[in-house]
Amino acid sequence: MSDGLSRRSFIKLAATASAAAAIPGCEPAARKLIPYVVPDENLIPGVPTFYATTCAECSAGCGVVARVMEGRVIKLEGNPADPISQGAICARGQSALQGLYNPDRLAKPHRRGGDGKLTAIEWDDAAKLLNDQLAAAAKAGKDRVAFVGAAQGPALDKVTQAWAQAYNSSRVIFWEAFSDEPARAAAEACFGRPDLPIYRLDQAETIISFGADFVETWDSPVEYARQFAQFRMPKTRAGGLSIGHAAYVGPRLNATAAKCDEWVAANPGSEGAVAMAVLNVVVTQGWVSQAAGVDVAALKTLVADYDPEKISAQTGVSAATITKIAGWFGQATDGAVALAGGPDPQAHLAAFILNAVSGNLGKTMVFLDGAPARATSSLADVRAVIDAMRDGQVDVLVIAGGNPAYTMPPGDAFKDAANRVGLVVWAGEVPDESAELASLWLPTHHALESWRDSNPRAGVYGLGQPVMQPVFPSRPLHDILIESAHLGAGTAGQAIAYENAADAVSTAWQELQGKIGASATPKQFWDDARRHGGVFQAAKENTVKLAPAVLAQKSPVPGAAAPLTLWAFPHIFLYDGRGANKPWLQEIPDPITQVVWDSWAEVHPETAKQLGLVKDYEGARLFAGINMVEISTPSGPIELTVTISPLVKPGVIAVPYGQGHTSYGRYARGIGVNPFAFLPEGTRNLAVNARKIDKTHKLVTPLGKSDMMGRTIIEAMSLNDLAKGVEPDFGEEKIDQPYEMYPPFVYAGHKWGMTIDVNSCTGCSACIAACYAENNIQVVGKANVDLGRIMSWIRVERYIRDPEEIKEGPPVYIAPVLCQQCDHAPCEPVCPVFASSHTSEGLNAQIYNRCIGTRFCENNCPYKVRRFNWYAPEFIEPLNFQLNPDVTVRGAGVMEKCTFCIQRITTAEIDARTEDRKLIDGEIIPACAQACPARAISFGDINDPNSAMMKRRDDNHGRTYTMLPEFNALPAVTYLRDVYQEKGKA
Amino acid sequence: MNRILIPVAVLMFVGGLYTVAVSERPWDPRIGVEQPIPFSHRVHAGINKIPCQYCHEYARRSANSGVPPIERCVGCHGSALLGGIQPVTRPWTNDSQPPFEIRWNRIYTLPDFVRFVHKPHIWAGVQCQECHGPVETMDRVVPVHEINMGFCVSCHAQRGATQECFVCHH
Amino acid sequence: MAAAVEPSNIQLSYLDVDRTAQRVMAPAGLKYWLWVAFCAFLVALGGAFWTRQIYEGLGVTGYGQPTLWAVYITDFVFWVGIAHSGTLISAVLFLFRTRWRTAVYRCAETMTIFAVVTAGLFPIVHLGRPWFFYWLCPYPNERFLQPDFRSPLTWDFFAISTYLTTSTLFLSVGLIPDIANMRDISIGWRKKFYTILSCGWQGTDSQWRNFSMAYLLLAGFATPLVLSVHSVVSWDFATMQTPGMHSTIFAPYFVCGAIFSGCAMVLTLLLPMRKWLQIEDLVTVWHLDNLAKVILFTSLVMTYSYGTEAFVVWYTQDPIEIMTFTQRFFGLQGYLAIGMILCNCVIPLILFSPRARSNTVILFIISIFVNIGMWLERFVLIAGSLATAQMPSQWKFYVPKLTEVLITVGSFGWFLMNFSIFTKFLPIVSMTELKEGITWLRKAGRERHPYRKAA
Repeated sequence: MSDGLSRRSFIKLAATASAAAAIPGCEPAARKLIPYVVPDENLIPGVPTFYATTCAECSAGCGVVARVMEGRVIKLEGNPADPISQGAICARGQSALQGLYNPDRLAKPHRRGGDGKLTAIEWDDAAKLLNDQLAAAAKAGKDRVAFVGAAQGPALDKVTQAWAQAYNSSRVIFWEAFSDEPARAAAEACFGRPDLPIYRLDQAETIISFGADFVETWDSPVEYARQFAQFRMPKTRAGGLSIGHAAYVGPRLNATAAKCDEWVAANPGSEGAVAMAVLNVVVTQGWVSQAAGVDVAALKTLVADYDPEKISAQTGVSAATITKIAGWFGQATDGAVALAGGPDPQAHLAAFILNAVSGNLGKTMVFLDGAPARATSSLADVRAVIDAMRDGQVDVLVIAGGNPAYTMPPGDAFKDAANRVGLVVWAGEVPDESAELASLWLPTHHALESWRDSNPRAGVYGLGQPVMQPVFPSRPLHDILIESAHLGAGTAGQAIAYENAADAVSTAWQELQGKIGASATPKQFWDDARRHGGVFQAAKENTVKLAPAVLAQKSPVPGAAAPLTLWAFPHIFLYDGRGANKPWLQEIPDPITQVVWDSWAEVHPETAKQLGLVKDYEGARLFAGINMVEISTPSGPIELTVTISPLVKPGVIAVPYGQGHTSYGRYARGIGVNPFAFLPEGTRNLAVNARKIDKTHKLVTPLGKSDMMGRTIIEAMSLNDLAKGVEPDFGEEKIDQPYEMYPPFVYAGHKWGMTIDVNSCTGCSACIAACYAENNIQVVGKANVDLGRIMSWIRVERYIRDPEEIKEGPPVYIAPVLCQQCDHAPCEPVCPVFASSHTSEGLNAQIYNRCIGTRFCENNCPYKVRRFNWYAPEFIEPLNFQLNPDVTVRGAGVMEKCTFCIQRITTAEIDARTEDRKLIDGEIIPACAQACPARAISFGDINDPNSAMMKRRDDNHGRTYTMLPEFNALPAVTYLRDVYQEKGKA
Repeated sequence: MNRILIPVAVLMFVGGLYTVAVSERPWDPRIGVEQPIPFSHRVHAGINKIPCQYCHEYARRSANSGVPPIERCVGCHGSALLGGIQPVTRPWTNDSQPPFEIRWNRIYTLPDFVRFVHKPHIWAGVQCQECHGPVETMDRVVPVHEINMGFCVSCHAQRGATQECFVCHH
Repeated sequence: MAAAVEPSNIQLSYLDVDRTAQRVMAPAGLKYWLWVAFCAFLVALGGAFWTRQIYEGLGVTGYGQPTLWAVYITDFVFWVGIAHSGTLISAVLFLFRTRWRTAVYRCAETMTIFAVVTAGLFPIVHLGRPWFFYWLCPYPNERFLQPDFRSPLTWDFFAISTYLTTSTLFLSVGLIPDIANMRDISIGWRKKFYTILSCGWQGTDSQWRNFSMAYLLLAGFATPLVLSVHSVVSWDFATMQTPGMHSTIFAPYFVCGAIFSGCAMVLTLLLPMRKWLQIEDLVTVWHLDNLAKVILFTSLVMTYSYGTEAFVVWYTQDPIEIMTFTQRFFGLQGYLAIGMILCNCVIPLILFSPRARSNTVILFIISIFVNIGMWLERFVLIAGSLATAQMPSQWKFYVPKLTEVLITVGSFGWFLMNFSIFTKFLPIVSMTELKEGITWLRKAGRERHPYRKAA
């Protein structure tokens, strides 16, 4: 592999030919062909190679497969062998590519002079400077070197530790802004275990989430989205059809809550209290399972103060609601699970206790043997190091990832401390706020360029391998550390046996083989690991008991909620801000507010009225809000644009994390505000007062109106109707005898179609990111989105209803909308030049080089899924390295649209023909279907009744519908209705 | 009347000349493009009867037929050269000429916005010569056919192959 | 009828007609050239912005989802509409032997030509890749590709080109005797110029016979175009599924609107021209009065069409149609639709008063309003309907940017420039037919005068 890597660099040279052929739109065809000197035998130009590796975008540690063409990774896909991702991948994972090819990445080491100016220096000088300073610090005394960075997997973190040891220091902090420390603390208290349990949502009948947005950012979103989709599948329980019950407790109706039956609008920070109240009901109703073997008396005293009636003032949740969801939880015959997110320790405690006392330990919540040790440092350690820095006990501070200057609460403490450190070294890819503090910058490899391993849970050992040559002359962080230890730390440093990071990882895997006792030879083991992206085993389940002690420790009942509370939540795409420098993540609209390229203040209409704001723009213009408010915070006032929506609790100002960067590249800089900068440690809510100011700032969104106006776009039906097989009446008349002007198309061979299950879709927008990556779709930026020029071929439609007003059905309708590939495509007959034409396999082809840009097709498209190139696309070097050579880059003035990933279809068909066989069902998977974590999208041949896609239609025939049927366009995309629980039936 | 017609005629003539002057095809010089090394397809494919895909090995497996690696030349021309061959490794950003690379001049370029894949054509039994002409008789390769849509479509029509736009244009 | 509408030009002699015509075409003064230069400046301005648009892409306009058609197509329909009344007056009224047309038809027909030429530009301006506009016309090519004849835009291409050819022929044939007249009295390069154009006209009986026959035939050819061309244009929209456009009434509705706006434009041009070129005694209040009556009538028909449209929307009971229609009037850009109703239905009602019909100032103002109103109508129909189509999530109202505005202004400059130049070099009133008119009136004498009762 590693030697294969060195050879692969030739391909880039030879690639000019095919690359140029693939990108005619924006650059002249290359006139030179440069052959390999020695070809890589396992590599064919023009044919993708797949390398299994591990996603490093969040701590979930999904296995991914990198699609490499001509030596450039052009697409990330889920690794089917990986038990966590199981072949799916989220939007953030997809966008790792834009971190790799980010034009703002640091190319050379830089040094900050006395005047604060940065000058590029050579690697050797940089290394020398670093090592000398480190050596001096080590000589000066113990613990005078500190490391603050992101955890990079067990093997490399060990290297970091060893490096610090070599420099006579133990101050190593693995920083994670949204760490699982609260959960770990709770697990420690409840079960005396340092590790965290895994959850099996698909095996539960009831899910209650106390602030855990498990389909967005919580823990392992890809896995839980998949499990949640299975949970929501209508299945037969106790004779009747059931989709179980799910409730989300939190101040804002986010994508997770949108898919739950009940959004319990609790005051910010009171999730724990609500959890205790639920526990109270469970206990008092005597739903405590005997098997759990807990001291009910102790429980009673524990929850005594949390009578739903008494607590409702503090939580803002009516007793009835609490009793209802507690009933769901306690009476679930088929397993129930409570999840807790956020920093509130009480929520985690209560959730664990709930799962324990309801006898779901080992069912829906499982502790595994051999679980990995905690990856991130405890808050105490972090505080200790910061204090040491402030007291001048640290001479050299190395910041590598995690962007502590941006994410550490409260923002400035870390900065002040860092300014008291002799030499601050920053090692990373795109210079961020932390880099601003540093006087020595070291460009490091992206995760996709370097070796790493991951161990997200027991039995899952992911191996991260470099999938391409480095884009910039950077170095792997741990190569730098090891070298520095070897050169600068004398004998102590020599003790580190590894030559480099790759060596460290492979050694770790040799040890791993011994540990898990695999029979293969080391070479074979290593090769298999690289082939499959790691080693995946079933871990033995551990039976734990609830520690009685935990029932003794009572936590104080929270006080009444402040009249106006600011509540910050992790942005589904930007997360803790790490995504902000990736154009895709900035341009994909937030599934609920549909806001792009910005951070916002989401308030309820009532609160808005109090602030003197009115919602005057619904459906009128493409923006979500324009009037600004000034919010007072401990660290000065902040100004935010308000977006008014009923999907947030009155008295709450919901603000996303992730924006407000003062650095971190051109795509992140100068957008919105950063809640980390003013929120106190260990909490996400803050009592504030806000006032309207007469400043305006547009919140841009591609969404027009949020009201479906009774049209057949996204449909939901009640469980009863489904059980009875009743076709829900949606008002529009059915066309019994549609009039056909032209003879119907006859499809001798295949007819491609799609089935999209609205019930499963969580709006996570992974499909959008996948489409951006696969089809070379341009990012147009905020101003152009404002003009209605967003280019994504697939969008997540979002329609809302006021939760208070609705009697039946979900408050939020979410579903992906892409080209419906109609049989009677309205776009086709209107094109004067056949640019929009019908293929023999039922696709509405858009022929870019025939298109003259009359835009008649999009006018006539009822679904408005075609996109026009208003400008020539711009892919700033090296972002253009990511372009898919199989797909044309469209020029200015042509229409483009979803092709069902025709490049994948033709490739598969050519393969089938050359291998003289029939196409296999499932051989062709469009990018969106492939990425979907919830498996909501399936693609297949309509002419083949046995295809999985058609089977899915048949199995759910009660739920099938097509969008806007009155236009009789006969779409090839069939949707499956969302299923909701009748309100009455609890 | 002539006073008007003559200027018009002159204008048209000049315009025609201009068109001829600026347009690339089909008035390209018909003598082959000079290559960095005096390589003769006639000697290799013609006299020595080396099959095309011995060197252009990717044609049946990929979209592009591939330019033979130096290794392939050395394979026949003796391994004495082999010592002289250093693997070319250079990072992306370094534009300096790597050692030992042949910058062949391109003969065939496709029009924009079209995706041509060699693989299915080879498997369909299309002879290389049908598009590239009798290369085995040429020292310097001369483009015999102008590879444009008309050329492709007419052949597809003759052989009853697909004539869908979407197959090549996506 | 009031005395104002008495056809005062029955007193004219042939010589007066010639003299006036010659005076009109006498070498121009500074004022005239300043005016032409001003128009040329507008053209240059529009051209510059169009160049920029071609170079940078349509992004420089205010276009976006879902209003992918807006100002340019509006302008296109507007100018095509302008063209129609020209043909109506020159051809249809000729077949109906309407006397009052003689003085105004040449002006109207000229307007037709230049309006069509202007209109023809806009589909090209509108294209994303204008350099490929010729793909709309069928021509043999190595790619075996032809335009799709199912597409209304292809029909448009043929409709407009046919219209342009026929109108040009009609105009140039009608010009022949007059040009011959000018040839005989002019010198220098003008003489050569007229010699070529007059195709050796000698005024012999056979020539007159052939001429009138040819003229009649061309008028016959042109007449159906009045109906067909704008019907085809209307089908660009009527064939769309977009709510607010998908309606069978569009063809007659557009044709009527075209004549409405066209006559208004004739007035807009004629009134100032009449004053500045001092041809009041050729183009009399009587003519204006008749034009005004046509405007009044068509305005009433428009009002009726609007009513019908509303009724049909209500009758379908299709919620999407109804919503789009309500948005048109009460949505964010409702003021446009209201303005349209004012300009097209309310203000023309003033023309019921004979005094208004004979007052050039009022007529001029009204004609301007009608032009604005008809432009608004097309804009509301196109941009408005697209803005609120089937997918509520894709709703967005369109606001033009400088580029569209200036290109539109440029088109007016282009139109006026051509028209002004024409007036100076070719007879803008048909001497021949005026003289015919005179003879007819002479023969008729006072007792058989059509306006006797009125008088």
